[in-house]
Amino acid sequence: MSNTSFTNDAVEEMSLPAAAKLTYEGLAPTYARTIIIEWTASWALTAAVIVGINIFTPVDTWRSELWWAYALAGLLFISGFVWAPMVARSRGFALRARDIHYKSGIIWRKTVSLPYNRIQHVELESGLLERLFKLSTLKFFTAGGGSADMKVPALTFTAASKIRDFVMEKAGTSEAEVGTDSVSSDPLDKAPDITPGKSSSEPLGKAHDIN
Amino acid sequence: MTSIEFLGTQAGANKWQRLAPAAIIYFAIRFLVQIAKQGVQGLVPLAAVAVTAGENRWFIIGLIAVAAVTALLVGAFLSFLKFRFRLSDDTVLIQSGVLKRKRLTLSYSRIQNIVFKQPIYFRPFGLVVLGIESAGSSSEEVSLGGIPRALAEEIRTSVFTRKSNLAPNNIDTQNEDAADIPADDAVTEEVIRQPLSELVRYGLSNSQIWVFASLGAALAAQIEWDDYEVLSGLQGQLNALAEQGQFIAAMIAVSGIILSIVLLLGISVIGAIITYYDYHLTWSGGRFHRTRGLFERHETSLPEIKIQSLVIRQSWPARVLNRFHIQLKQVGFSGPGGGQPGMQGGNSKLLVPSVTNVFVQKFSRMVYPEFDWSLGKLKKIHRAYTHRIVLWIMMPIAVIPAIIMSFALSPAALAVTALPLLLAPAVMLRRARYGYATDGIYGIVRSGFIGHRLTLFPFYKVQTVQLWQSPGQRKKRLASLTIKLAGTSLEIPYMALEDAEQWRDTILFQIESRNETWM
Repeated sequence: MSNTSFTNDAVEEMSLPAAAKLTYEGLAPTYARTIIIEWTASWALTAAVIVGINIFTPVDTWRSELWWAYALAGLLFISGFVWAPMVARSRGFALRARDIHYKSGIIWRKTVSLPYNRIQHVELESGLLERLFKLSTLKFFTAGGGSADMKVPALTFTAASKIRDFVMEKAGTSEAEVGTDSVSSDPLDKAPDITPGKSSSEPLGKAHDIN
Repeated sequence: MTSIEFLGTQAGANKWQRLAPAAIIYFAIRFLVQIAKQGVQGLVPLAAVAVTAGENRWFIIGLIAVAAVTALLVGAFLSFLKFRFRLSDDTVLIQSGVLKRKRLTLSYSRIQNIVFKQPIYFRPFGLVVLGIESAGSSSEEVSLGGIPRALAEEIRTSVFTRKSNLAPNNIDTQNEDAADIPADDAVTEEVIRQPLSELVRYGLSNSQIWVFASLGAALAAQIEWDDYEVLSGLQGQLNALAEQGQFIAAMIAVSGIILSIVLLLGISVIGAIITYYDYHLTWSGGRFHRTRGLFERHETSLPEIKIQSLVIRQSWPARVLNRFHIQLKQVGFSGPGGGQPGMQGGNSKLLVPSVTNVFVQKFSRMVYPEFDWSLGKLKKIHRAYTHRIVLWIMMPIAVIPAIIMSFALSPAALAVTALPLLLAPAVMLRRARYGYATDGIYGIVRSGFIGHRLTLFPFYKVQTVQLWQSPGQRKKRLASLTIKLAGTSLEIPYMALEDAEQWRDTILFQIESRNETWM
């Protein structure tokens, strides 16, 4: 992926690399589908509770005069099919040699920028649904707060572990090279070639030999 | 117990390892604690079922209990099965989670502290809980619940050996050494010694007392004053006086308020004197040392490198007295054995009470020698901030109850919608307090309402930067910036997009090029 190979090499004060001009990688194309499934499941659960109450209790609580509320709920549910792909498309990440950026939001747009040398630890998480789609969420933690400072959802297993390894490598070295020139000609000083769209063969929880 | 063989004999085996089987108890207890902390309301429907079940009540309750215990044990067993850890050459790796799989990576260079805990149920097995802490968060990032003590100790030594191998020029270690031996060659420089008069000023201008006062008022409202005969006698006398005329009633009310204010200020002053008596701040060998306290002397030491930001506060009474209060903010480590010698757990700021403008200048030059106060005026945030708060946040909050009340009570209730407009001047005041400036290395952010709070920080101490834009902000080319330091979060709303982007780029440049440790 050619457009990920950003370098932060230009370090003269007047020509700072602009984070605003980054091109962001999209997340896995199946991401919208997982959002829709979660959305549908939560509505199905609500519906099941309402149906359950009406079947198992003697009182009639359907309240048919509230038909408009049902219609509204239905519309809200259907709207999910419209906004889920939009939400999925609005999110993305960009890797540079020294920092990672994550953007999100359709209406309120937010960009988080995180330098590798401030990362404390990294977590790779994969829920049931995510595993079904062979996706995982990458979480970055700094000393800035208790919860994850950056969460990149819907990465394929390979992409996620590649990014994690790259970031951990960078996070580790940056502290050790204290005193060296900040302009690096290190061949590793390149973003990894990752393809978030491609599905992978290496499962996250691959069994390792236990002694 | 053959757990050592089960676990593998070496900490650094670089293999995936499991905890000892007794860890099942650890997981079960952790689940119970979690349920107690967050999930109690989830048990309500179950209780409802049990209560409404009628004849078979005890049978159903028993069934639920058996099911719950089984679920707990199965969950704990699966958690144990799925929990694996591995110590590689430079990182700690943890795999865990039954439904949600997690894989944590923590490099040795980030480890701050390693703690052992031995819960009572681990004692017969000779097992411990090994907690690994890194910077910034209150709880440990990694906890290995259920490994033999010998292995735990081996892990600790191996982690610290490798950690020191990774960073031979660890600034931290050097600093700790300097702290342990009071260096003879280091000159101890007196920074400030606060006389009683300044402590009185601090007591008068400390805004905390007003928070306390409102709490007190709320408490007083709860008391049935009629129950106290003395007071009701007094009340009778006051009532009798009040009947003589409205003027006297007003006088009584006013003098009552003045009396309580004087009383509160008195308490605040006494509190300030007790806490900060003989306040003494010195500087030597890259560290600040502070002693204070009347009954109990407190000694605090803060290495310069741990300082994250300098906060200069001025509440409105302090403004009248022409004084500032300075806070040196550092990363807040809480929990026992935070590993910071001379630092109290959880106490993440060092306060210099009641200082003059001249001292503020001198002190900031001491903490940040390269910083120049004359770098220019603070930039203001955009007017749209006021519009946004009044029209888009306060208005909707006012309109909905106004409409409901106008239906329920009288159309006059629609007047409630005017409330945000009345509050607009206050919002304008808040907007005017916001300000920001930078010289490319340091940043200043000011916020406040009547008083103000100015935060001065070197850009390289920042952890993350977030840039926000609402549709309205996009149209006007504005943005809000959230800057996260270790332990503090600063927000500059509605700054020019150009400035926000420049701040972000400069901050990232500073962090990435300076390569200095931030703590």
